[in-house]
Amino acid sequence: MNRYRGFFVLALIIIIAPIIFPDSYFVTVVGVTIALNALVAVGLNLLMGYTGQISLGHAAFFGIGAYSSGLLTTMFSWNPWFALLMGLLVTWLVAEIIARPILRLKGHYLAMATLGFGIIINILMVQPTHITGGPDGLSDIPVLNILGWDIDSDIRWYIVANGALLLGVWLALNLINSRIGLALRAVHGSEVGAQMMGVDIERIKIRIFVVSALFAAFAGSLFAHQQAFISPDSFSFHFSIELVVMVVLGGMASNYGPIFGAAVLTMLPETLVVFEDYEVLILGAIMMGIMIFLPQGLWVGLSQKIKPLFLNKATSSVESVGG
Amino acid sequence: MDLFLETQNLTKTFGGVAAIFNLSFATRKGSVYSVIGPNGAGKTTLFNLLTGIYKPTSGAIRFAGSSIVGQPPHKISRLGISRTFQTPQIFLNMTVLENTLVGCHSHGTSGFFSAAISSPQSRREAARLKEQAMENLRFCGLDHLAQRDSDALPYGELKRLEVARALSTKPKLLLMDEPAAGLNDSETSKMGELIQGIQKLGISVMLVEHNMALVMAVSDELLVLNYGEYLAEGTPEQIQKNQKVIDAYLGMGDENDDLFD
Repeated sequence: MNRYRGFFVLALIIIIAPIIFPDSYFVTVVGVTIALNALVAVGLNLLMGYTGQISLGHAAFFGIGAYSSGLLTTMFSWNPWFALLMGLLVTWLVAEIIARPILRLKGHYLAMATLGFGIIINILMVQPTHITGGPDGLSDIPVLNILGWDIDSDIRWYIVANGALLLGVWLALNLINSRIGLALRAVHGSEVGAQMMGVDIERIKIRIFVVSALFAAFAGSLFAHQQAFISPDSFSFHFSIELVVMVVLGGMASNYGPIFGAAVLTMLPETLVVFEDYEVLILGAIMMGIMIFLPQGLWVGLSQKIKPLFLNKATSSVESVGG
Repeated sequence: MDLFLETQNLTKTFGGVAAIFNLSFATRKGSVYSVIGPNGAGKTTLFNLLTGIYKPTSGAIRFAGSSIVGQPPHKISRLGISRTFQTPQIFLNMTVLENTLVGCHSHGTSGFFSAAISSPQSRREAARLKEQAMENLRFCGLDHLAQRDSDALPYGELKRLEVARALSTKPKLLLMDEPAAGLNDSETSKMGELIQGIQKLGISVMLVEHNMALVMAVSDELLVLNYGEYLAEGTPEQIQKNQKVIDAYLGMGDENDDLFD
């Protein structure tokens, strides 16, 4: 089916990459981080790209997932899968509670409120030192086990993380192409128009906020087990911003843009390490360049530029106007 | 014919200024009921009150026998009142068909979960709603543009798309806010035919419009507002002869010579 074509291409890339580069640090190690970041970005894109509601606090949900898994498995020796489920449940509850008042706000005010929420959650990770380990974090988080198969090597994590990403992309893809997805995009297009079409905009905004928070929490739980060590630094305001940049840089309201954005933003700093002190400077310049020349994001912008190359000249001019 | 939409002593004030004051009127089922009046007469405010976007300061609104005051817009939409907007509130990030499909929203039931796993029911439902949407596009003469991005449509077609989208909610009453504003003569006459077609479907229409030729051609009854207050009500013939109405309009300036062409 047409809808799933991009999905199969993504799956193919994920499968082929480690076969071509079996020992590559980039594929197996960076690949896991890319997949987990991309999973959060895909969820955030549902909220930001499609529904038009910004969140500068998504690192908090990633953190709630990670700390639920970390705490329950180390302090209470829970089975990691129950801990993961509990993390999702806690996230659902927290997201539902804060979404009610927060999503009445719009634009800058919503950004500020979500920012504040993210900072509060981060403080809750740092301050109760006797529970969370404070700034030193939690260590010795046990290995994840799927049907007797320990996830303890880079390549195994690559499979699990990317499997989770594919699951997330598949769910997001279905959602966005459904009646619900149309209503979400309608909220972005015109709130009053959506209301008059019978869409309960308040409720649907809360729902999509919760869904995107669950994406983040799921990735966070996997992250905790993969790292075996977590500290509040990984879930700070800085990461929230990075997530937003991934979505915007890759391309909002496109299914694969955020994955592309996550890949670029995760790999670029690794690549730019050779420039040492100038790394951040060059990274900033590249991001500015992308936003100036491809304001719709890398994915949408590049595919619009590449598409005409595959079509004959007569239709290409029409295509580029229409797209 | 029975009373359909009625208001009693409806008042809406904005910081002490009454946009609608003590307004009582009633429409009949199956009719085209038009609201006219000089600019600033409170016509759009009235529509915003009827659709729940504004809450009245005082007064009652009843639709098909029950009060709708205080209901949120999406509930009023589900009760059977839909509307089009003076400045089209089209979802410009979507195609023509997708816009119309949003109108079908309340006629689907599949939620987040069944949508996310693309369950067989949700797919069957999507196919059913798509058929409905296409039918409404055909009715408004837009079916050949179904896959076009809506931000590429000319203004006249955007206006008709709003009608197609509103019809997809299966309204009992359709409020149309200046459907002919910004349209040329041929587009306006097409819009007039569309309004009559909607009436033939058994849908009551309430119309706010400045184009008097169109209003007089399609309306069964008219309500004239002046500064948010009731001025007159009656058939097109009665209104054209009403001295109070003529005075109110002529007080506006010389553009009214051809008022009732």
